[in-house]
Amino acid sequence: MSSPIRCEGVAKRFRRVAAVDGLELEVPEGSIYALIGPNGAGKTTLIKMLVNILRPSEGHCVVLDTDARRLTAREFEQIGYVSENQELPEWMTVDYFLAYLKPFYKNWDDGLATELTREFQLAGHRRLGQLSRGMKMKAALASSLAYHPRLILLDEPFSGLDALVRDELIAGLLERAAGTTILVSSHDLGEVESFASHVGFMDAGRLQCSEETTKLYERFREIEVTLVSTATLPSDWPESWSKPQRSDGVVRFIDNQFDANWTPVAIAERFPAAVNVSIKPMSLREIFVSLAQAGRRLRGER
Amino acid sequence: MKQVLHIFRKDVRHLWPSIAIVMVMAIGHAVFDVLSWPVYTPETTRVNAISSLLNMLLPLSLWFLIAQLIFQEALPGDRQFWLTRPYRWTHLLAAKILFVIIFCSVPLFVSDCYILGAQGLGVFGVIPRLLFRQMLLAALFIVPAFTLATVTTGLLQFVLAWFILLLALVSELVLGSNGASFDVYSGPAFVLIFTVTFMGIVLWQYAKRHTMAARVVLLAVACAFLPIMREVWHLPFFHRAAPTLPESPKGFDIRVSYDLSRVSLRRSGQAPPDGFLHACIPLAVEGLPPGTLLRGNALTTIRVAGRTWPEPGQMWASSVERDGNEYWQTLTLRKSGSKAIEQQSASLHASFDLEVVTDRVETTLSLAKQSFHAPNLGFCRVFSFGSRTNLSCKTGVAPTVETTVSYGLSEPTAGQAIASTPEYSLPWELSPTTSNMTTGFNSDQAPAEMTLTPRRKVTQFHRTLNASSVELIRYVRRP
Repeated sequence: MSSPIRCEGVAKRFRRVAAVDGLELEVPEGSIYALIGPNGAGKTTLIKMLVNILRPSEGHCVVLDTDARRLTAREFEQIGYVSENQELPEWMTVDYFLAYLKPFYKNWDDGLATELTREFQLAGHRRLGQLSRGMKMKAALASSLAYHPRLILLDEPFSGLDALVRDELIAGLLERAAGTTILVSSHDLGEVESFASHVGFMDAGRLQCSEETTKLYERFREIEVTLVSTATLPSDWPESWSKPQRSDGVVRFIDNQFDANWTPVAIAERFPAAVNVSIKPMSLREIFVSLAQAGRRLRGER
Repeated sequence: MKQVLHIFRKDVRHLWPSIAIVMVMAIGHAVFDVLSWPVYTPETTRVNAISSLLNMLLPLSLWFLIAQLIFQEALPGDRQFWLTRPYRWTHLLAAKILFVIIFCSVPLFVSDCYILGAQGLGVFGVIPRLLFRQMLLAALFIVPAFTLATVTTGLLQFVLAWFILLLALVSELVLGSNGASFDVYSGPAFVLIFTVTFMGIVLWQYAKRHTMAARVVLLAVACAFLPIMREVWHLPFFHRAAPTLPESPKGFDIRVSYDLSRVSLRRSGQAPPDGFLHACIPLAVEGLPPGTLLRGNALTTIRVAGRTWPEPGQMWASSVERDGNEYWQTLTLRKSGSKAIEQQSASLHASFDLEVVTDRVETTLSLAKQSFHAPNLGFCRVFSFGSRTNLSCKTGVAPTVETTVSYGLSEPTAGQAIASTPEYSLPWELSPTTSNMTTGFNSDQAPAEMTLTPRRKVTQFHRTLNASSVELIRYVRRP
């Protein structure tokens, strides 16, 4: 089966500002794809185009084998969408909200809805407008999981939530949506790195990288070289190494194409006077920050 | 259908307070409409004020309800929960229309029925007319509000959009009408243009949600309303060709000619407007069937000393009137041109459209009762207050025949024309009744009875008359 989400050259411009700019994306079936990027990177715009809330200025996305611009009720029966800034019908109680949505979905699972309500500690009689932000997100998530969707799109679902609520949401999501393709956007990698199987890094409307999380971990290393004296930097600086930072005889940089065989040799060749070489794996957050900084530097140089 | 009813039930559940307000307004409107009369006595003044207030509040409550209804699943914006739920736009729109029919149109229909029924004006015989009236009411009061709600996101925007729309229309009428006849706005073209445009925008919005484009189209139509109306109004569809009247009506031998030898001059009749004078040319009419009278209008040109009035491109209308047993053609002339006709004789060329109507008293009613029903007049009431007695009548939506009312008094001579309701007349007011006659008398002269003379059409025909050497000044009516 083809990917549940596929975008080809998709762009969205608001007047002269390109929120998404020629983006290519493919989300594998069954993956938990973390779409990360700084605020204003275009994540929300991209997700809104995926669910046909916004129409692309160029290119197109295919969602569940249907052009996203032509999504109909049939496709939406298999898509769950939760967004931090979604407006829920605040006058409805939690119970009525779930009961109201039920007839829209053939696969609605009453048992699952009840279980989620209980697990998320949602008071059924309370109006959505009276709920805290965290509880609203739980209600929205419960209402999007109760029909076993094939695809779940979460737009900054954990933003501004306390750690406890966030963990409850993640636990609820992972437990109930096994096998479902999930695309979750966030500007904070710490929120998603524990469960994302794939990561896409978005900046300035473009996808800077997109790959499996394990491969990303393998690919990035923070390298620290301690030198005896103030040695000059080698002229043949590999492209995969980030711009070095120097202080007190220590050179730091990030290798984004780490190879256990090649990298140590390349370091030895370029720093023959090195006293010590430290090669450390990086957390997803560190990788994200380094990518973001590199992107900004590049734009600054342009 | 299940989804339609499901959304409908949800809307009813949430909007019941606003529904209740509409119901209260509709009931109040119905009750006070029955009680109100276009007569100002201590009894009616307060009732009339409340009735007028409810006539304003009922549409406002309807618009508020409609706006709230549409905003439940607002179309503009990108944050609404329903956008990513399996809603079918056709079902959503159907649910909204169903709601509007049940909670806006049905209350108005029931209110119409009550107003007519409570005054004995008959309901069952006019159900098709009442339903047609509901369509017109929907076109004027409901569809515009529905449309504006689909391109706005909140009540403030909704109210603002109303103002912008009205401002566009009024500015255009003020700046761009160039003296165009306002009749064009009361015809079916008005309803058709607006309803088609509005419904098109509604369908487009529900199907595509292109809010900005929909707003632009709406504003463009409002701004270009007058030119569009002019174009559409001139389509043959809206013009049944005026029937060509026969010169000799079948089965009748009616002769009409100028009777310049008649000695008597007309002194009574309505005074001319300021700056004008009436010249009443005697007409000889023969061959009218018994119990009928002749009336009509003529386009007339007057030629004096080689000069023609009116000048090319202008027209003077004149009417044929009966006074006692004599007929006259009354010409309304500018006083400024009277010098010429004072000094020289004129030749007349008149093209008459004439009709023969019944002239027989069919009903005599006693005015002793406080309220009664009269044929073609509807439901009538007599109000006595101080030294004044007023008689007022209301008619419903059933077609009426023009009727002349006489009280047998020397002053006022009485007589009110009751025009029958044209099929497409627009219900600018919510009431299904029309006050077709209100007459006041001093109590010491109050009549005991009234007679009704319906003016049923017997035949119509065309006649052209010419006369030369007419001393027009001789026929100028002097009070």
